[in-house]
Amino acid sequence: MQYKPETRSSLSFNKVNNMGVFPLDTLVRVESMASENAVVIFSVSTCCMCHAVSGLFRGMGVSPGVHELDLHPYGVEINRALLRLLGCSSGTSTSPGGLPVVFIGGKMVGSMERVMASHINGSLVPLLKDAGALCL
Amino acid sequence: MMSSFSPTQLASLRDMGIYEPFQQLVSWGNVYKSDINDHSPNTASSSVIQVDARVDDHNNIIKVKRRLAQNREAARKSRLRKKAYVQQLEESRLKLSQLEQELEKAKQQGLRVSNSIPSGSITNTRIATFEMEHSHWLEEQSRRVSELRIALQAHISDIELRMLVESCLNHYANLFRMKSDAAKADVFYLISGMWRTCTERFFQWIGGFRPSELLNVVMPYLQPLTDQQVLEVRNLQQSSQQAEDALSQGIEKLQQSLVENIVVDAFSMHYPPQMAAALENLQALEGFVNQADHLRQQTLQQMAKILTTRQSARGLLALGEYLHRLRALSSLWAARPREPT
Repeated sequence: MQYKPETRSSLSFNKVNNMGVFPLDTLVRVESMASENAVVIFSVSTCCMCHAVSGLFRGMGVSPGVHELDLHPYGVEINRALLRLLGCSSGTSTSPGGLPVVFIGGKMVGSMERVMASHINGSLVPLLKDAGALCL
Repeated sequence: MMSSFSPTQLASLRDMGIYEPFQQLVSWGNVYKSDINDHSPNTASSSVIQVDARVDDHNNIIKVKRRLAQNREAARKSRLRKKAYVQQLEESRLKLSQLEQELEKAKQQGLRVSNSIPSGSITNTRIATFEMEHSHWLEEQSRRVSELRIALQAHISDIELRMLVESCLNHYANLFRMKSDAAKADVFYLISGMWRTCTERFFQWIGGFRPSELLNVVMPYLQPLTDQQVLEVRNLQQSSQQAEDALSQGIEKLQQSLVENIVVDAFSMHYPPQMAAALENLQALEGFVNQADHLRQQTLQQMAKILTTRQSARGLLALGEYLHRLRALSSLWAARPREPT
């Protein structure tokens, strides 16, 4: 994926902010990245669980858009924002850093655990169909 | 495996807690084998106008006597088979208690009966705790399976049966919780399956059973299913299979990365093995074991949602008995007569 070079000046404001307020532009960035595709996976290139979750979608005939955050200029901030969105502290049951995080139809589904749970209980396929990722 | 057992053998097997719910899977030996030379009056040729009644009676008496003799022979053979089987069981029970004593002794001496002993006594303690808890879990499991069997035969109320089903599912949840704690202490111990019997290990997938395989085992015992249920179970089998494949792919990637990280490039001495990255690979293993257990739990719970209470009870009973028999097979295997080398 080609990333447009941006100045970091707009982000320095957030570094000064000590109250831990959610950096708005990172959120906006996450939202726009999550809407690029019917299925979007925020991933790390060396993470095997991330490889597994994209394998799951590919096995269902879906091609997800994958953002490798370790190769992304704002990967660290995005990762942090995602962790906050997930509502968990560091050290989840899937992998350190909270990744992979999956979005379907622009809405957050969550970690590998959530994705598998929704596949087993039958709610994943309708979600994919609604997002246009799966044809009947 | 059970096809050569006679009714009397089955009865004693039932008493020993090995129950064959589907009797049509069992051939009842020579007892009901049809006589090849049977000439039923219905198939008599039309050229025979009259049958001498006395000759017919005499033929019938011969047939009956022959059948009784065959029955006696079959019963005798089955008694011999039962004797041999019971003897094998006794031997393996003895062997088992001997091994348990040795294990106790070894534990008291502070040793661990395993090949991959990680350094650190805290890990040893946690793993020893897991082994103890797991053996209690197995005892509790067989108690619950018996309860289910009795409940299904006794026709208790649906509410009471529901409670039994829920407590069975909770019991499995306890197992996954225990495994998660053990994985934190020593993931390789867990994934090696050393805490399981050899036959269970033979079927092992990421530290436990493969959910889609268990669904196949249990399916025949759930009949009759509505069309809607058949569809839902098929979907569950497919989803489970897809999730299993995904996790397997992840593990393969993990192994690949591990190899890439520790292999030294023969042509460039400047590229050292990436041991730190390799360690990260190993740390990721715990996540896979947890996800595999999570998948097992989700599959069990989804089955309980698809099925009626009675079907769930039958399914859990079948599952419990299957796993029990698999373990029993390990003991028989260990105790099998062998030629001295």
